[in-house]
Amino acid sequence: MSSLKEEVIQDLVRILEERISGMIITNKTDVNWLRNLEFRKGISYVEQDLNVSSGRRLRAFASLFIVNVKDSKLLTRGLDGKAVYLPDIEEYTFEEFMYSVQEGSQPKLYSLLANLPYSSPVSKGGDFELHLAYQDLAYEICEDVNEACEYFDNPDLYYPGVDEGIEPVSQEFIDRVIPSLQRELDRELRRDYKNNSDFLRPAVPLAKLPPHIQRALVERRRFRFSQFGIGRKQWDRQYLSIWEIPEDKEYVPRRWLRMC
Amino acid sequence: MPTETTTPTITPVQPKTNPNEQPWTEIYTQPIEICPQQVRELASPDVEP
Repeated sequence: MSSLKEEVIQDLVRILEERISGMIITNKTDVNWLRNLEFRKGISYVEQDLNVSSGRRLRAFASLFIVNVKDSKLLTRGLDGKAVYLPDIEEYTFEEFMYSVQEGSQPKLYSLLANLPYSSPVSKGGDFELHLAYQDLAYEICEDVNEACEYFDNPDLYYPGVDEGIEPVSQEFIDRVIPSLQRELDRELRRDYKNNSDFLRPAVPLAKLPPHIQRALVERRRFRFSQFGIGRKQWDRQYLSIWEIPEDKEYVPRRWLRMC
Repeated sequence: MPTETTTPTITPVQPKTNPNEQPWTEIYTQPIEICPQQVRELASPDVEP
């Protein structure tokens, strides 16, 4: 691919530094990010349901650059509103951009993406959250929690855990994870839309799940982290690297497969 | 005269006698309904993976 202009690189570095520091982690940003998350496979943009674009590492990589795309050439926008546009070249994809950075074309970008904070700073009124680039990981954990809750309709629910590839989870660990999940579920309730009521439906009581499902859920959580290259090593050092996420080119989050 | 309130009342929807008649999704807020930021908090990065 053609080289990016120096001024484009400088803008991207600046914006990446903002995102990595967590300075723009706000609800409004998240909504825009989700609503407008789009991959462009070329300058001649063809609208597609970007949410099912594949690639575990690529999705994480691109998520740091794409914000509120309304212009087919807009790449990203910083806190100051200054826009960064794709260079005007014939063929350009995020995949090529990622490989270019990965192979050393942009050392500073590479370094920034290799040193993401494990969790973003606390947003106002909230708790620590997984870094923005790992939204897909968060959604996978959410899907697992939701699937476990099918137990409340089906006491015979088949909900397997993870036997291989992860360290076994202890009961002490389960007793810490379940309340931490519950803490977040308790914070955000939804109305009883079916009955057109203002009553808020309470959070699912995870503690009422039977022990074997709680264990399986916690195992799955550990497994999902490992699928994104996160384990004890990353936890101990408290930073993450995009480059440690497996490429997994065919990967599409279950959430989007379910919704499409 | 009824008193107006702008504060929503948090009242769990009471399940029917036979819980199978009312799906859990109508009783509880589904985890998949929460917002993207909340989902990242759900991952609980303050607890090791």
